[in-house]
Amino acid sequence: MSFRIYRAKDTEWIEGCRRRDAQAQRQVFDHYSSRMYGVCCRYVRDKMEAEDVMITSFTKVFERIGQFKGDGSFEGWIRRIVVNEALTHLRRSKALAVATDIEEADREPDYQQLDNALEAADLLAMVQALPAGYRMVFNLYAIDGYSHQEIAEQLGISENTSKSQLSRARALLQRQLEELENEWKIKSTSHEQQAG
Amino acid sequence: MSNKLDKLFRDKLSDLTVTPSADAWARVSQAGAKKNSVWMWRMAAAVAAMLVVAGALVWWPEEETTPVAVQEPTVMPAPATVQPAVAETQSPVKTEPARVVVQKIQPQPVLAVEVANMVEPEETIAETVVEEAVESTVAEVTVTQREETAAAPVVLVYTLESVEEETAAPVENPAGTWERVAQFARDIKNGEGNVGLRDFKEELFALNFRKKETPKQ
Repeated sequence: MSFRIYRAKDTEWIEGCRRRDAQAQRQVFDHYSSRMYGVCCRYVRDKMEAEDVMITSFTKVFERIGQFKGDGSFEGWIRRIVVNEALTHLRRSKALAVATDIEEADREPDYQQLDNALEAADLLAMVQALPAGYRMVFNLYAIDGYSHQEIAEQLGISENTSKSQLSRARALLQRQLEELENEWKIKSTSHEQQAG
Repeated sequence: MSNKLDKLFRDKLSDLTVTPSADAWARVSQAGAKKNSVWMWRMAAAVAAMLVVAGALVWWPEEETTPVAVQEPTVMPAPATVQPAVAETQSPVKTEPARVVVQKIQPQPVLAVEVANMVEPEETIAETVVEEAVESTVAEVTVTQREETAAAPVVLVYTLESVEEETAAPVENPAGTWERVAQFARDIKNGEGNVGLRDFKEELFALNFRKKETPKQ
């Protein structure tokens, strides 16, 4: 039911945006801006720059509203514009990946425990800490669901480069998760000792 | 392994929301308005450029023909007044070309028609020039013209040959607008033609577009 209601609202807003109705544009912005800002923050480390990317994306959304055919969801269409804009921003700032050898992690962390313990903000900080090249590929593949072929086309790299960037990004993130786990273990053992 | 890691991040971050700053919407609407105004300015500039080009194509040929016609009487008086005096003294030499012309163009009525045709436009031009209220120099020109036409018809026979050549050129030209424009440009390049760019510039500067400085209170 809620899906239908949103679709109805979307079509109403889209019609308004096509008429350059400021009120409809404002409603679209109010509804989607925080989610799209979240997307920008995953790709662009600096918060101010991320907001700039989000704002530019929305101006493009309103400019190109005539190009939206209604094939997919309106949110998906906006999201694609935002991701493209973020990639353009990173490319412009020449944030290229530095190919460094990263050692594979020794063991697998307990993802269930991590899922319970970690907040979105912690994971966001980890993604933001990745080098830009790894960050782009990891975001595109793992979170936004792009294929290696699409990533290769988007970034102008080969599919193999995309795959290797992804595995390096994963290795970096896994190491950070392990470090977190180790910290918790140390803390919990020290608590037990104090209690004992 | 990788699937679990991906899933952890996807579940937590795919619907991540971050509240934008308070002025975010204002910046979006401003950016949109700016783009619109840029387009408006571009459109206005394009329209202005089109008008200038269209205006040039329409008005240039007219500007070109009138100065040439005005130039004729200023050139005319000198040979017209001097030549008869010389022609009278050196009659055998000067009359030869006149005879040749008469032999070539046998029917005399045609010449008469040409004379009539040639005199008429001069008069009309003189009238238009007077209407335009160009001052002392043009007034002198009109006076000399009347003297010429009134003085002696015999003098006109000499002047016709030279006038025919001069007037024939602008009559042939109007075939193509671009040709006329090209001719006009060539005249400017060679320093010929009564284009009056300098006068135009001086008039333009005389308008004085500078803002009047208001004294600070």
